[in-house]
Amino acid sequence: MKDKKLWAGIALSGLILVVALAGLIFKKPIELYAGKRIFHGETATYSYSGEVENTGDVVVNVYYLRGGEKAIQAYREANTRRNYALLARKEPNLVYVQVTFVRPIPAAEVSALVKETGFQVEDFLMAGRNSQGGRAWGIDFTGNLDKPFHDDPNLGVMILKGWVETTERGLGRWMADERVYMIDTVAAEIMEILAQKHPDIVAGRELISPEVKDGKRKIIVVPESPFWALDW
Amino acid sequence: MGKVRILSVFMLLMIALLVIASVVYAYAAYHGDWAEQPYLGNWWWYNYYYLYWDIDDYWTSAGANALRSGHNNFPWKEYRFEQEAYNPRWNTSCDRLHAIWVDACTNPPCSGPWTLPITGYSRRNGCGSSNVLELVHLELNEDYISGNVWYRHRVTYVKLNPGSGGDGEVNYSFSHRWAWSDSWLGKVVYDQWFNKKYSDPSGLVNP
Repeated sequence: MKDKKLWAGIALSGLILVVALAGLIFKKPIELYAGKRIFHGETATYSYSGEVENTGDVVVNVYYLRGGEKAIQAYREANTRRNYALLARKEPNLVYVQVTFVRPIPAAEVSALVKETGFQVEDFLMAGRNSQGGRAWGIDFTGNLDKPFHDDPNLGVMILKGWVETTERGLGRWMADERVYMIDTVAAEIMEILAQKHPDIVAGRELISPEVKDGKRKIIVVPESPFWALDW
Repeated sequence: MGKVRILSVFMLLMIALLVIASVVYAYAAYHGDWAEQPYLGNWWWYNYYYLYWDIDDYWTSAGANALRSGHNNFPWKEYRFEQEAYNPRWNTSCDRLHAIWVDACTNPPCSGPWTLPITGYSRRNGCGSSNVLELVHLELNEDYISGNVWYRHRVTYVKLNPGSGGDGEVNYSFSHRWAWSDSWLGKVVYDQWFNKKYSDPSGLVNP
């Protein structure tokens, strides 16, 4: 009789433990696993996955939802709506953006636009055709549009990352440019989502900014770009 | 006699070509056992003013199918390469190499399907000082990756403090958005002057 009670107690404890673990998994999926904190979520037009790295920085990748071109189009429209909303705010501030161009644009042209709008460049991706006629791309982390690391006239800027002010002269000018396919400002929204859903992640960290602050923990947002499917 | 000489010259040429081919394609099967990962790697290590680390990746047909299937079916995996110019396990070899340029098929150029298809990228601090960015992530465009094709890309680094710090290493991994850990593919160990010492798996890097 005593043994039976003991075994029943063990079974019940096990069951409670399983239920508790399942609850943890479904409430905060895959978070705090194996010492590597991973979190994710989904909105109407994208999903995101974040990870706390061993440096303390947080990296959030943003992905389009399933649905091919339609999904990308919906994501693009959501960005346009958000950009208008950012422009409408009374207090202009610096936002992190990823610009995808409709086709490779000569670095000098992009440089002119950058200077005109006060855009602060983080890095850029150049794309085009190489001497063998094949597709070629290069990511320039120096961020120097006036003197790209690999100065090849066959390559033009397809992706530009950096910061711009939410003013007519800044973001507004980029929105009006026909050479631009998409101005991705999802980072601003991701910060709001994190503040609401993952305050522990945001605490003590800030979205990556133009000023390098050694020792300061950062949140890095990495959106996808549809550049591969565009004309280059 | 003339025919024998011609035949001998032809054979010598064939041997020379085979030697060259064996040098050019010093590839090796990667570590890791994920079905979706590239099966073969073929690397180059150029220690000039900058440090150039070239990587060719090769998926088998089954591997490429697994990659696309993983991406296009629940839970919709998003795959990436993690190019770590440090030792991510013990956080050593930090602050030796600072990535400044990543490219596919610009120099040397390549054609056809060799260009690695990506959807995004990031560069960040792997360990040590947050001013030295030794980690590069390349987000793959899975739908454009085929089997039985070599995909090429190069990362260019600024070398920091040559002549100090002893041996260092760079590592290459494959991962996806839901993974708690990655699939380690291989590494290169270099000396204090950034000269290649050996690779793991061996034979991965061309001399």
